[in-house]
Amino acid sequence: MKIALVCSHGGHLSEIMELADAYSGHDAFFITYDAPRTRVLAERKYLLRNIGFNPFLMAIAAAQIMLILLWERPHIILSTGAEIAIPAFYIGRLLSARTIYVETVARVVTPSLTGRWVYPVTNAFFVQWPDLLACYGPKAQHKGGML
Amino acid sequence: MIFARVGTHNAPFDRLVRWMDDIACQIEEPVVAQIGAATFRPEHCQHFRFCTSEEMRQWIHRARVVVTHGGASVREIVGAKRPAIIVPRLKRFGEVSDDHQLELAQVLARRGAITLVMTEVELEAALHAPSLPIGQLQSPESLIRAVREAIEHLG
Repeated sequence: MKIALVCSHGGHLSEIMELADAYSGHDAFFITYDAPRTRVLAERKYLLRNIGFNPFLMAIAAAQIMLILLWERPHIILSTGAEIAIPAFYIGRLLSARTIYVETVARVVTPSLTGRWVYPVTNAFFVQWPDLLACYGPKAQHKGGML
Repeated sequence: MIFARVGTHNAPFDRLVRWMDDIACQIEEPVVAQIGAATFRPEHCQHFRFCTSEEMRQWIHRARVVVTHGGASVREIVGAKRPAIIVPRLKRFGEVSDDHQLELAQVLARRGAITLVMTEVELEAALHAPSLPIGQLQSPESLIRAVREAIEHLG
C-alpha cells in the first residue's frame, strides 16, 4: 500500500517517525517542510516551504500538494500535524485517499487548530491524552500516547 | 554542559534565549543554545539556529540538563534519561498560538517527570538544584498497533 506521511519538521516529524512500525512494509513517502532535519530523511520525500497559517503560502502549498498527490496517488495519508495536514487531507479526500490523523502528544487539554480543521475529513482520528476526547466528536479515539 | 532549545517554531522564543545568555555569563558551566527563529543573538554562549535530528540527539546526550520549550520533543529528552526543565512558550508573548505548552508542562510536572519553570529566577534556581526529576517514557506500542490496524482497515 502507498502511504503519504505528512508533517511539519519539528516534534511532529519525530512523532511520525516514532510510529514507523505502524507503516513499515508499506511504500511510505514524506511530504514535509524543507529543513536540516528533513533533508537527510532516508525515505522518498517532497520538501515544501514552511507555510505556517499564512493563507497565501498555504494556497501555494495546496497547489504543490495537489500535484504530489496526483502524481503519487497514495491510498492512505497519515499525519501527526501540523497545519500542512489541512491542505493534504482536504485534497487527499477529493482524490479518494483515506486519512489518519494523530494529534500531537503536546496537546493535553486544548485541541490544535489543525486537529479541528482536519477532523471532518479524517477517517481515523487519534488523540494521545484522554481529556481531548471530549473536545472532538465520536470519531476520536484514545489508544495511549508516547509520553 | 547545559543545552537549551527552542524547537522549530516560526515564532521566536527570545525570552528563553535572553535568560540563557544572562545565566551563561554568571556560571562556569558551558551553555549551548539552539535558538531557532530568535531575533536576539546571544553573546555569552555557543549557539546555532537549527540542526539535524542526529545532531539534536547528540546535544541532548552530552548535556547534564536540557532546558526546552514545551513541545512534543520533550519526549526525546525524557527518552535520553536527561533531566528536562520546561519553559513553556506563552500566547501572551506571541511565542505560540495558545497555551498548550503550559498545559503539557503542568501535567508532566504533576507526574514528577520534568521541572516546570516560568521565570528567569526559577530557571536559575533549577539549574543550581542538586538534583532534578527525570521522567519515564510510556511505550507507544498500543498507539502504533491502533494506527497499523487503521491502515490495514482503510487501505
